[in-house]
Amino acid sequence: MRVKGLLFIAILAGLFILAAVFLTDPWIEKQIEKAGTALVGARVEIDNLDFSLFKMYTRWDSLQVTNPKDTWTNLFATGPCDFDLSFGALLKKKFIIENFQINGLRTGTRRSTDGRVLKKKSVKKSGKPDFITRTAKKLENEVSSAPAWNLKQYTKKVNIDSIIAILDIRAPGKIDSLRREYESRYAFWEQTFRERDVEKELEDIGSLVRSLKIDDIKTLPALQNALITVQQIRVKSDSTYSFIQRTKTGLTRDLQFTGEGVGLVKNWVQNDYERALAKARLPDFSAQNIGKMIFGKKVVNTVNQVLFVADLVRSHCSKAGSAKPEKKESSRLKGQNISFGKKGTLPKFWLKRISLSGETSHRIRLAGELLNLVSDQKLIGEPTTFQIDGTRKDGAQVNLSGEFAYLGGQNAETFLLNFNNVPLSNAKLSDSPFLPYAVKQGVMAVKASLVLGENELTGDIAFRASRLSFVMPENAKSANQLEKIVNTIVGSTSVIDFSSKLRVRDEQTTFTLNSNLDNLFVEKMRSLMSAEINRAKQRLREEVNHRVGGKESDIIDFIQSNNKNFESKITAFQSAFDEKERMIREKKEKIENRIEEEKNKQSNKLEDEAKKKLKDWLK
Amino acid sequence: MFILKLLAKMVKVLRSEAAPEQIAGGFILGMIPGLTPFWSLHNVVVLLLIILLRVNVAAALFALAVFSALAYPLDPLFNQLGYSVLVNLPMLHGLWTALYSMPIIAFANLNNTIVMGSLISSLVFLWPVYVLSKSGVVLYREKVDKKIQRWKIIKIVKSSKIYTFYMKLKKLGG
Repeated sequence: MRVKGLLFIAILAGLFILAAVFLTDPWIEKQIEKAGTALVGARVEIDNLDFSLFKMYTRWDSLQVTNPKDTWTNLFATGPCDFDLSFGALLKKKFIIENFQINGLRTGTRRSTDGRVLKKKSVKKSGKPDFITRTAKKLENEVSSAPAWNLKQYTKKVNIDSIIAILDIRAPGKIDSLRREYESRYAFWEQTFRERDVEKELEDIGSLVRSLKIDDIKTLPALQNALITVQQIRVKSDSTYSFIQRTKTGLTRDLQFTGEGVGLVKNWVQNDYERALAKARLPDFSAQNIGKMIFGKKVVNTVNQVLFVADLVRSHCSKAGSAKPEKKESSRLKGQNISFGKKGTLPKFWLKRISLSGETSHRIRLAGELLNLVSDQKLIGEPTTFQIDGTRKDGAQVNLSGEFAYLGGQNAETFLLNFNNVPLSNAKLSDSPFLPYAVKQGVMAVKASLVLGENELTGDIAFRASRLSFVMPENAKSANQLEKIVNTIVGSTSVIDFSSKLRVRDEQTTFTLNSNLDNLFVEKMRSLMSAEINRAKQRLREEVNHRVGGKESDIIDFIQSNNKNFESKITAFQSAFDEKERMIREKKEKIENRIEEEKNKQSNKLEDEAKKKLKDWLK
Repeated sequence: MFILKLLAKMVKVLRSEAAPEQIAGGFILGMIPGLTPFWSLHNVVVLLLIILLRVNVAAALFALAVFSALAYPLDPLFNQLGYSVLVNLPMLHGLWTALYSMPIIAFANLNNTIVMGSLISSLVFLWPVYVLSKSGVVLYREKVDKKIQRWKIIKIVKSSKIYTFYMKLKKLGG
């Protein structure tokens, strides 16, 4: 054994202990700040961290976590905090903290320096985003796809003259083209009727039939000849009949087609009118989405903040080891860590209890606790829960509780929020131009629940602000008519409420928000704008009719008169033919009867002659 | 340059008075951190052994360099072996769970596929490499070194004035 080697190790151990005593505090402080900053996306600062390697305790004087959306404000700041690490567990590479005491928690405090950090380019995750990310995106789309209620749109006068100047009227062109097509069809039928003079054919048939004077025919052969003539006339009439039937079938089909043209023309004119309306962008007050427009963005932003927290916790706490871990493509020289924890063994990280106390920016005293913040809940068999309660002397109450459950099967997060009698002074309920003023006085009550499943979200929010008065602008008198309406409604409303329902299941999203402001705004605005809008609509209708009207009536007359003409023509042919057919039939029957009579006559005559001869023979 | 220096040092060690067992011992102790991820708990133990035991440190450094270069191409094999041992042998799961929860040992990262695969490989090769390297040292000293000394290039260098001057200076320097 080398004695020098022993000495070297002893020196090394001494240096390590010295470094642990004198250098660990700033190093750990820097590491925590770095990790926190990366997690939040804005500066996290700790003052005077003190870590004792021998006693295994950590404390600091204050912690500031910057709000990433307003880097001059803290999301929260704390006073002195301390916690003890379990030494035995640390030897097993497990970070177990029995109690983390947070004192002097304050929310929304101002920062003396900007807490912004330069963001590194985030590497986009490949593949399908997870359910929470998809849901947050869908909710944002739900709000942004709501009808765009632009206040300026209502305050400006509707300038129909400029719309008329750029009207895109398409019906006349289509009517001309339709007329050309119909003219060629009508010409075809004209030609058909011209080429074959059915009238004359029917006249001839009639003359032929009439020329047969049956009464003047006395002999049987002459009658039989007349019957042959009738049959010849029938052959001729059959030819005319088949022409009439053929023509009638084709013509009826064509007339039906051209008859539909009338409806087409009317549709084209209506389409032109509707296009003109769309171009004029006349406001439509039938949509009942004002509440959604006023409060939707704020509701969705709040829900998305909760989803962000859920996503953060889920991604860190729900990665439990499966019975047989899947083999992953590991980067070179890194490998894959296989978890060998089983129920009852210690998890990698377990913060058993966070006790906190503090105050919000609205002077509400907060106290609460978070239990079982753990890297793998399955190992301890308990979900992570939190409960924060706040009260103020004037009776304001805040309760926030929740649960993060990743115990196997489906992941689930639950959040419950109750505000009662919380003052609203100087708060802005919405950034919408429909509710532009801050609240001067008032109190609010909120009851909200949000339950997040593996592929499901259910949220219910009920909000009621009462005893309201707003900070109204001094120059309200000079406001335009529509702003006056906003001022009237806002000025006269002492209660604003809304209830919202969020339902996301797989790919289906439902977000409804109903408010008492819906009807108030719609009725007021409708009464203001309806006369103006009706006038504009009338002008557009007249203009379209003016440009199309002549052609529309012309082509409708053209179609109707032609159709009537051809219909009457074919009907006349048909009835004339029927008349000739009847004459032929009657003539034929008459001849056949006469032939029968003549035959009987001759037979009787023969019989009489025979009888007479017989008599002569018998004499 | 570093590799050339290391090679020269190794040749010097081979030609020194050091026992073949010491050189072979240093070589196998250098092989372990060479094949396994360097910043691992077991390598602290190996380092302590190198410091405390009378093994040849230069041989350990040489082995560290050689096997580190080998470790990169062998990495997928270590990963596969480690995964098989940790996951596909259920009878060992109890052992791994116990080690995973054992004080200090938990820091050894034995649940990592590369650490486990490479550590097993280096332990398996420990004795064969020791025997081979010891025999190699003996072989070098008995046969190879004499042949090398007879190489013309070596003779030319040794008979040169610069080499004679360098050797004098070396003796003066102690």
